[in-house]
Amino acid sequence: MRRRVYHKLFKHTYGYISPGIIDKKIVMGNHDGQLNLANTIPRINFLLKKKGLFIVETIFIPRINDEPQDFATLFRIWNRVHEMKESELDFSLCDFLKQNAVAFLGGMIADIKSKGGFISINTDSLSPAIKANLEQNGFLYTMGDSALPWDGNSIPYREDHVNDSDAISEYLQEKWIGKGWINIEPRLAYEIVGNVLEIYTNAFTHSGSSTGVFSCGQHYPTLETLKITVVDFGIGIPRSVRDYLMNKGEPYQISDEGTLQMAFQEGFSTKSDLGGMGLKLLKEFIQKNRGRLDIYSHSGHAIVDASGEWYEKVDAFFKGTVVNITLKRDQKCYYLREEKFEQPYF
Amino acid sequence: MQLNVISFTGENCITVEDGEQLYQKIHPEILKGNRVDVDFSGVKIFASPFFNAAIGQLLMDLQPEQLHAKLHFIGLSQHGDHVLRRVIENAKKYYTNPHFRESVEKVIAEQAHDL
Repeated sequence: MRRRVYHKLFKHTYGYISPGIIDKKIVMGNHDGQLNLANTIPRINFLLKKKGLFIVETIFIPRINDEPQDFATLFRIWNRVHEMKESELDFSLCDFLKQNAVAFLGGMIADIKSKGGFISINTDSLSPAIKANLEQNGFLYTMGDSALPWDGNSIPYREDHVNDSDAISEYLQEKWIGKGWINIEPRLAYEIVGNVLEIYTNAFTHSGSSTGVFSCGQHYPTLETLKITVVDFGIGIPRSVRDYLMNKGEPYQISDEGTLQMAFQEGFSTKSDLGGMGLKLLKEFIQKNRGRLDIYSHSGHAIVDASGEWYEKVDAFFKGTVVNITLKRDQKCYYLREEKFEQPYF
Repeated sequence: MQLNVISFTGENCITVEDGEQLYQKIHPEILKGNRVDVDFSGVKIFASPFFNAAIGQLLMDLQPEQLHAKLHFIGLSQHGDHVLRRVIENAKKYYTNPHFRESVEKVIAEQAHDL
């Protein structure tokens, strides 16, 4: 039986149906994906479900760069999709998508599916350029498309469900830093990989993410930069810091950005045993080598570059953590350790 | 005794698990008063969780002077050397001053509270 459901109140809803199969789509609107319909949609879904029907919401993905407002857009999309059992991503309004969006959307899809939700991509809505990019970096292949990825300026989209550090190290060495588009000596490449691996290890150790860690990179030849984004859908740094302080009987009232500041300070760790060096080492590396590090968690945003570190509030909430790393392409930007210290280790 | 790290970790010294393996080989030897040379030749990638588990936690029950006399490192890259020194510096503070962590946390929390 095929029936079309179109609810006039919400232009973004469209129709289908034989139960469970999306069969026909009539997209009507909702270009910002930010309408506050959280309380209404589930009610309509409930009524429709009683008749064997359901609502699928279309989320229109806009152009996404990697500025704070772009991350806020991604977080609003996550919040919206999270409220829906069924949704579809439509890219007809999207003419540019950076690596952060690819990593985030891929992780979001895996996270929603792992919780029993359903989310699909309208591949017909992809522009040829975006489609080529998502095919090249393997995103569409991971999502079930048949097109195999190929080599190009994109660093492959990657999902890690367990902390296989050898595989991640190989990915970073061979698919990211070692592609020949960054002019550095091998020993510096190893140092960069070691520092980025601290982020993966942190994500697996601290986040409690049941869906894993998602990453994607991109080489920008004209900007002479290399980027990588690592996303987890765990509890986030603010919760990790607050839980730790609470367990110690020190329930400080600290903002999300304040907890990020704490996580970066020498001597602080949420682990009960020895640890907590990863973020400090990465911060030091980024500052010495004129890169940039952005970390988003809950509504906090940490920015680290050669001129210092800042902590600010973002106008959107994301429960997990996103790390965005930007590195310069030229070795001249890097500080090379020429000699080891002769002082005793202990 | 000499331990060739690459033979059991491969080219990556990243994880706590690999670090724990190395710790289990070093710790009893130092307790017995034996000299241990840890050879990192061929290892390319280093990260702090490995060194925290392998070397940092030795300071839990061994004195820095004891480790200085008995534990020696060979074949470390510049980056490996840097990470190892940072880990040791942190571990010394962590284990030698039980109030270090609390006092650092208090100061940091007060600073963060002002944000």
